[in-house]
Amino acid sequence: MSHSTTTDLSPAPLLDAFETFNGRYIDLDRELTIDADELRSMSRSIHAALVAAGLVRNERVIFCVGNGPQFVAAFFAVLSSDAAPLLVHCDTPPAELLRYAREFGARKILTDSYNAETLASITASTHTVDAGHGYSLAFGAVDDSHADFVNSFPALGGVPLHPTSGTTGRPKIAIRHAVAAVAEGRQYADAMEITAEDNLLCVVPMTHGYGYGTCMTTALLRSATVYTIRKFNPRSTARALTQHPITAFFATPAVLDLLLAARKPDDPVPRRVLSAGAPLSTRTATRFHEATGQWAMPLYGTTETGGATVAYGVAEPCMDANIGPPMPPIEAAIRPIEDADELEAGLGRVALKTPAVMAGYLRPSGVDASGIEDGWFTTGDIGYIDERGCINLAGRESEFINVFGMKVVPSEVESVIAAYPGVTDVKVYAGKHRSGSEIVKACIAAAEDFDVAALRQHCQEQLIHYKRPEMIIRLDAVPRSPLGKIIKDQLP
Amino acid sequence: MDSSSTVQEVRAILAAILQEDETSEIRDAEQLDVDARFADMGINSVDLMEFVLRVEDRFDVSLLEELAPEDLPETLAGWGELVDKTAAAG
Repeated sequence: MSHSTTTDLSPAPLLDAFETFNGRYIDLDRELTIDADELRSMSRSIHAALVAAGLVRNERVIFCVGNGPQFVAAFFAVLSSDAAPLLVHCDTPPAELLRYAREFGARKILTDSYNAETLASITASTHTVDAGHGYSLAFGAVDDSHADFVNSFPALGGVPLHPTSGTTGRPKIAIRHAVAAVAEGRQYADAMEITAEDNLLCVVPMTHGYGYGTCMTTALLRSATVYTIRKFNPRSTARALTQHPITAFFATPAVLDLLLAARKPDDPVPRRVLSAGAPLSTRTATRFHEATGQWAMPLYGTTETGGATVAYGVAEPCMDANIGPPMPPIEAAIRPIEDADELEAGLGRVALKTPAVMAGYLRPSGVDASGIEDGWFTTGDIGYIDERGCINLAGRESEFINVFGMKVVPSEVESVIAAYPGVTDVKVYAGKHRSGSEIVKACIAAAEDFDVAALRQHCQEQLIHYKRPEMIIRLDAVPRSPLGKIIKDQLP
Repeated sequence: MDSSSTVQEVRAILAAILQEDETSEIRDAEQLDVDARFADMGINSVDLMEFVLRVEDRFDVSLLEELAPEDLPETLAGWGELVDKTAAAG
């Protein structure tokens, strides 16, 4: 493992895309249009304020900013400082922001979710950053002398960082350098034929790889216009689709289900409706088609590879296991699984070769690119490639829980629950939701009079909403074998 | 409409949503305790949002865009009261 990777980690390709962008960001929450020049001006203001407040090159910055023009402006303010934004969901509670900062050695936090006063509860010093146009952010410095602060990460500046569950079920940081980000954006733009005439509707979080790749990078490269909604609301989304000339809508299956419940029968739908984050079930795909006359198209990717497939332009609708063909120039292959007697012939690990692959994982000891061989990355997904060249997913090896498109690493939730007084054992695992998505369940061992409601409150303070267990089941003992392994069949 | 009948209606709406899950153990709306907290019933954010949409349509009220998530009632009984109050306010 080495930090002296041969990969070009310069932010230049992304900065160039930002400099040449000629589209607009339209904040539907504030009814505010920010054109490209105003966006760059906002970014310069934020950059100057951050530098004045102590941001230095090569620092990691926990980047907790919601959808909107300020996301793009603040992102490029950090990147142009040669610092590394570590993207986390804008609903992340302060305690979790601090945990991330310590665990991944980030000395700074930048957010528009909390004001400077609230941020001060977890930082040693704070500043309010006026971004112009009524936007403001809070910027704080974390106490890096704390015992939990991991100080040994390599100094890497100008590289966007994305948290991921990886393929091992342990939280990791993927280095999604600018070369990879721009390659991903070009793939999306080409595969979906995005042009400057397009109007994209973004309701999925731009901190998530899907929203970041489609509604930021692709839009920048093609100078498309992006309409943003900070927090998905089915009513305001249905209204946006009716009132604005949206040509591409990036959704998840749960978003589509809720949109169907909120829209009126004659409401228009754009010609491109993409669904990612979780499998697009036959139930959702069929209901959507019956209601709108259009098929939603699955889009698949991983944090490590960026977007990989999109079922745009495929003759037959794709749904359930079928996630469509790889976007050119991506190659897909199926790697055999050793000792896989019970699996059908032809099934294996889905491997992808893409110019958008990450540089590696960020480790305290350096950049770990060991999972990438000759440009190929083997995902944690199991599947096969059919005669049409479409990838079909049959399962996954990795242990993460997919909550309506947001990935949850059980071990992270288990650590939070295990730290709560009275919990003697815990197992966090996936339950099924009617939409085909998953929910977080927690089985805990605790005394009969244990206060589950108080544990819920603890989770609310420590974990973002999608990581909190929907169900907490108290037992006298978590079912384990004599060797201490969880007996999955006996989990409630 | 008196509150008790509103509660019965919102209970039926929630039961219908939960019954769409093939693995749901809810066979009858009366299985749902109107005083139980949604969190303790395993109601997640997507279920809740769909529930609100259906309540809005059924009672011709606007709630999802008017109230912050933390201001939404946590029980069916609370929903009955909120719907009655909102409908009365016109």
